[in-house]
Amino acid sequence: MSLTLSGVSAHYPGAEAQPSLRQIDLKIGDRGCLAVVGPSGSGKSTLGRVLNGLLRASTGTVALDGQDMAKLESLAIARRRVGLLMQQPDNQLFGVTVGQDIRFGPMQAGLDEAICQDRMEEALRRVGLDQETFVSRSPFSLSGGERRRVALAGLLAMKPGHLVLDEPIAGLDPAGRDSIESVIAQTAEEISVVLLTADLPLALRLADRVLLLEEGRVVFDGTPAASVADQGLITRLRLMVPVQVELLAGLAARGVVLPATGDLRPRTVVRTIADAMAYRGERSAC
Amino acid sequence: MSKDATLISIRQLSYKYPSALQPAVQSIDLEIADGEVCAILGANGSGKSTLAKLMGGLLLPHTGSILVDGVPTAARPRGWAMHQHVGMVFQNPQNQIVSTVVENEVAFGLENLQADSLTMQDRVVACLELLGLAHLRLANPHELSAGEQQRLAIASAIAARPNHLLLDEATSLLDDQTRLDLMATVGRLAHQLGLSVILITHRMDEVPIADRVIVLSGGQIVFQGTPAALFSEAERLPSWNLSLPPLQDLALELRTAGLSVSPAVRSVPELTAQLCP
Repeated sequence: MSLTLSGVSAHYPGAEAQPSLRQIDLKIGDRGCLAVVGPSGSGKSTLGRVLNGLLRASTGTVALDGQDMAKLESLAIARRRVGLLMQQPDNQLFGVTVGQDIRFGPMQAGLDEAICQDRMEEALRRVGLDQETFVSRSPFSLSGGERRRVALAGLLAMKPGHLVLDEPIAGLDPAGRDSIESVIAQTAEEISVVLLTADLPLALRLADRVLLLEEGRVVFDGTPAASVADQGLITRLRLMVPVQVELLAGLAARGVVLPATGDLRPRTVVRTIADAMAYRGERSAC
Repeated sequence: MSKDATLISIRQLSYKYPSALQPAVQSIDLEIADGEVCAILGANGSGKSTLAKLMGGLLLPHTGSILVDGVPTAARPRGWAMHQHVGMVFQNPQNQIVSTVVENEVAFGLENLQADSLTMQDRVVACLELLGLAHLRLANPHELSAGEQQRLAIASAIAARPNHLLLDEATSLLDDQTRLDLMATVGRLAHQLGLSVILITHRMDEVPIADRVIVLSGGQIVFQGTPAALFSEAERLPSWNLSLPPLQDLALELRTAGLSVSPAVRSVPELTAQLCP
């Protein structure tokens, strides 16, 4: 399973002079979490639409498992293999019940009813929604976090090779955020997840690779730890430097030498600082 | 009007949706003054959006009363006149867009308020500049990014010069830097124009700009105080399905790991200094 962009530019109808994506080269493998991070208007959502065939590249090629997407018989094929969770997933929910909503995709793909039922049950399990409690409820009677999990389950039921998630935790409360983040982490162990977000701290919690996007161009592609090394770039992109990164920089400026773990998740940073303290046998870090 | 005049006054307010078993908000007493930024925090389902709709006159109280600028919301004519009192911006900006040109979108509410054309021009330009959208004056609102659409919705609300600005999760689609900058602008506006701002949110990092924080849980007010007072109640937050902002959360985890830091810390340099005195 792979998704490869070569020299891809894209623009919306009528906006030829202002392409939203410019000359993107990108290869996405078959598992793991790639975070595409940039400010609003940097082209993240456009990239999501190009990846699942909703928007055609104006130049360059998008290859899905080695096959040029522009030459596919129908873009519906691309949309089945690359699931896209939109920024406002309420627009993606339309079933009368949660069960119908999740079965809809597999049914449209012409699968047997029994298979659709299995897919629905498995997808509900994956997103952590109890079947008995949720299957007959209306999606619109659920909380924001639950609705987003239903939308995710609908995508997972299609067994896509890639999942593109556009700001999946925006607007959710802490319980909703935690539930979605753990579904993303688990999903990324089996298929590839592309996380489109302006939330750099979220990217550091979940991603194993980070792409920084500025005005439709890739300005960084590398590890999460390296993505925050250039603070000037982060500021220019109007992103928030994660507090744990700022704290490490502040401690380094005071001469505190901590082992570089390359892992900037808050929990790891806290452990690193606490271990350094224990080693020194003090209650402070220096 | 004096600086501390009470402009929104809520007494023993309750509201129950027709199909619901429990009231969405109950026994709310709250006063919001001129120029005050009041954050109303609460998890999904806590009743905060219902309270917002009641303050904006979109819902009318079942029991109790809401006075906006001295008049009960139930006694006011519905429709555009209300927007001069309470400007409202909601989470999904697309639902609020009615025009195909950005400047017309901002002017739309003013036209409905029958402002003269010169006033309109000036206000439209000023509001677009305030929200950093002047360069998109002639763009199609439907082609803007979600973040730009949210800023446009706020510009349109401010154009009607309301006494109160009610932002219901109105920055959820903005990137963090834009969101916090916008919050700072909103805080400035409140103090400069004597505009009261009611900030409905579950994002704790927006709370520091507020003069006062109200926490709703199960439709009732469970906390009322300054942002600092709220942060020092970290152990109560999970029961309201709220969490500390990232900085205070990091401080709390360091403290749990045995380091002597305070969870009410206000900046990274302050936290660094606590770790490295």
